[in-house]
Amino acid sequence: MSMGIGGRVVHGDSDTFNSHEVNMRSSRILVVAVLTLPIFAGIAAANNVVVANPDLKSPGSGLAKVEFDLSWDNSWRDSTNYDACWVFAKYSTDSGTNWNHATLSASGTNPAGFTVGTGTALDFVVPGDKKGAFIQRSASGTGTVANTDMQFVWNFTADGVSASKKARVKVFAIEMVYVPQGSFYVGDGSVSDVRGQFENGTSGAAFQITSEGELTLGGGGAGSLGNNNSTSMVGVTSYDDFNDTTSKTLPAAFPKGYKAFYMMKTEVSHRQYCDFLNTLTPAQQANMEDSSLNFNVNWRNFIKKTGSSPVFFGCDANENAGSATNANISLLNQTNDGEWVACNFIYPHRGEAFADWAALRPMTELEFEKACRGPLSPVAGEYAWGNTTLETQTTSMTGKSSVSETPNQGNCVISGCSPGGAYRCGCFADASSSRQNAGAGYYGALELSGNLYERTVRVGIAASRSFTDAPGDGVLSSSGYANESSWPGFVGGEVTGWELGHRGGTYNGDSLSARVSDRFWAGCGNNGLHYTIGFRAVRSAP
Amino acid sequence: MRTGKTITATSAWWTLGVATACAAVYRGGLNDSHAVAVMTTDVGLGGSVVAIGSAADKSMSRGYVPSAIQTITITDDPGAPGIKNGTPIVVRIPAGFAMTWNETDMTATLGGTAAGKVGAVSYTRANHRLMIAVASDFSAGDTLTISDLSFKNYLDTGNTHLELDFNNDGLADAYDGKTVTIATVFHCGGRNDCYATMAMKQDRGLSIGGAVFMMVRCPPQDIERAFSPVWRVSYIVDGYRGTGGSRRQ
Repeated sequence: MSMGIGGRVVHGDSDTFNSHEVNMRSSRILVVAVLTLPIFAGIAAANNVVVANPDLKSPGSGLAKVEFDLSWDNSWRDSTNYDACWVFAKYSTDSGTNWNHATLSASGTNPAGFTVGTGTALDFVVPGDKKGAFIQRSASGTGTVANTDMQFVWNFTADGVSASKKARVKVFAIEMVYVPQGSFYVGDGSVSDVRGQFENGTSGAAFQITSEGELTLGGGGAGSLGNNNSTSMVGVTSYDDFNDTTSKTLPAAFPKGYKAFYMMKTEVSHRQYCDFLNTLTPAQQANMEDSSLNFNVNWRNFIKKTGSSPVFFGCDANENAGSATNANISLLNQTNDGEWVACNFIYPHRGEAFADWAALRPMTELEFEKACRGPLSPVAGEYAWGNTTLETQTTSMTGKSSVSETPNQGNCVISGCSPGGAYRCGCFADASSSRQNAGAGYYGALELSGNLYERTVRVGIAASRSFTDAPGDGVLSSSGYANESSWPGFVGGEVTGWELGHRGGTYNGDSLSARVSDRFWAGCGNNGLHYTIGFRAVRSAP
Repeated sequence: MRTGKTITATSAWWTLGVATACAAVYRGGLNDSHAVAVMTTDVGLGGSVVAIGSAADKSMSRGYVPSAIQTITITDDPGAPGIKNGTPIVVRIPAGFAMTWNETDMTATLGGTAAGKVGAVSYTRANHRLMIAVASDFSAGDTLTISDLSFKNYLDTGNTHLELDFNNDGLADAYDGKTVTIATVFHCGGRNDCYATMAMKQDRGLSIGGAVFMMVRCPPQDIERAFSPVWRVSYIVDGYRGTGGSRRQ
């Protein structure tokens, strides 16, 4: 044990094989582990990332260093994968009225001028578009990362900012998990409750994706990616446009999950969505929020806004801040106001706007299955944690709506849990949880099954098959929408359509929809139940 | 059934040749997976800070006629002056804002401590940019006032802020804190006036062949009134003329 940021007790700061995890599984699994080296010991954990003390230093020659402190708990790096933080900055040259995305000075690993400061051995990994950086352990290890005086370099000239300006920055950090390149399976071979699961041809068996190469969808041929019993998907309008007799082509450029990518460790939280809204112009905010997003305790959506100008969005789970549209700012974001709960009412075009703003992108439904299952063989009917075990459902929680909101039991938020509604991001993972206890996917992403629907790019609609792995550029349209031309729902220069499907189930749904390979809602752009939909973004690895 | 390597829900860990075991620890703690921190004060980006400010907001209704600007004051950095001999000062109307400088105004009234350090004015970029020639370096804190110029062709809607590019590098170095507003009065058109007339050259009979249908859509109280005994309905149908017709007693 060690003391973490703020004096909290932090567990998991060793590389040792965890006996608790071994005990959780059958002896059969242990035997397999012995037979199939290498054994790996990944740490998938969550939560408590903190950015502090942002500053601008050493301006000159069109560059300025953005300095900040960064910490998060339960970080890890091992032979399987690692976690990371996607860190990016927004700048303002008008004292915080308008915010724009900062472009960094160089790409690559630890570019010139970038420093990880004092603390854990870390790397900056900057993608070619220079819209942010992955900060991750540079060597194997686990535990808390706590670095001070980290610096990356902002190329403000590239952003059209004069050296004669004054500026301030907001530094954002999002915990991510790295999903390495490799083959994996989609579909789980289920023989009951088959609802469009992917299959190899028409065999009903899982389909292995071994590259990013072009795929044939449907048609029934050997080696095609089929959709078993696809007419059982939610409705005719949500059917895939391919089936056992009709084939389509999934282009090579469509992200299939074979190549490495980073995925947000948890779904977008309330405060995360508020922080997004609070950097937008009033015209942009208007399209990213509406009355349904504002306070609705029945659906555990806690967002309210002030009536002042500029509008400030915050949370009010304890209901003491007054009107949903004219809230008392001093009573928003208190300790029990639910900021950390996964945020619902994120319509697909809003999710895509969030992704574009953060220089991330939506995930495809193939990437969703990889993040859940990893390279392991499928288990029929499995959930994100790799088996079919739903632990005894939650009947109460402690610290409700606080930073430590914790269910008394369970590992998945689906219908039957009490209290109802979405829960805190990462709520099932604790100091000693197993993958099953935590409700975690193979690589450590949390709540892929249950809580809120994941929104995924569909393979079964022509318009979405032109999707590529191009990330957002941090810049939205003047109306607040994403404006990446290959993204689903792109119409007339903006992403306004509701094209993303649903995966992974929801707190208001049954256990079937929470299965990794279930596709009942996969082809549906609008399920009409907006209190059940959330969002999680990804980015292809540089 | 899966191809020769079938698994079941309870015995799936070593099938399909993957046979990879996961011995992971999945831990978590407080909070969520997001953080943000913001600076509360601004920091200069290393260049000279040159300011621009108009004496007051400027407001006009849409139009073409030249309209005098408010007096503009440019103030150089009090510590590290940036306006240099040979590099013109550029005062820009923001791109996309439908308004121009009046290019016939070639004689500005210049004042301030730097009045003697600048020269002629000119206009570029379709008269969206006012250029002021600089004849010698400004000193720290020097001021330059500019007046007796005007805008014209102000056909946009809304407001904007003038931009200063003191080193002519194409980037806006400072914005005027005052606004230029064009009121939302719509003036447009072409030839002629706003009136037209045309008369028929022949008479036409006011008759309708065949059956007559009358459709009335109105609130019930209006139906009552329309067909009450005090109202009469007149009609002409192919030679038949009369009054009465359908009415409710």
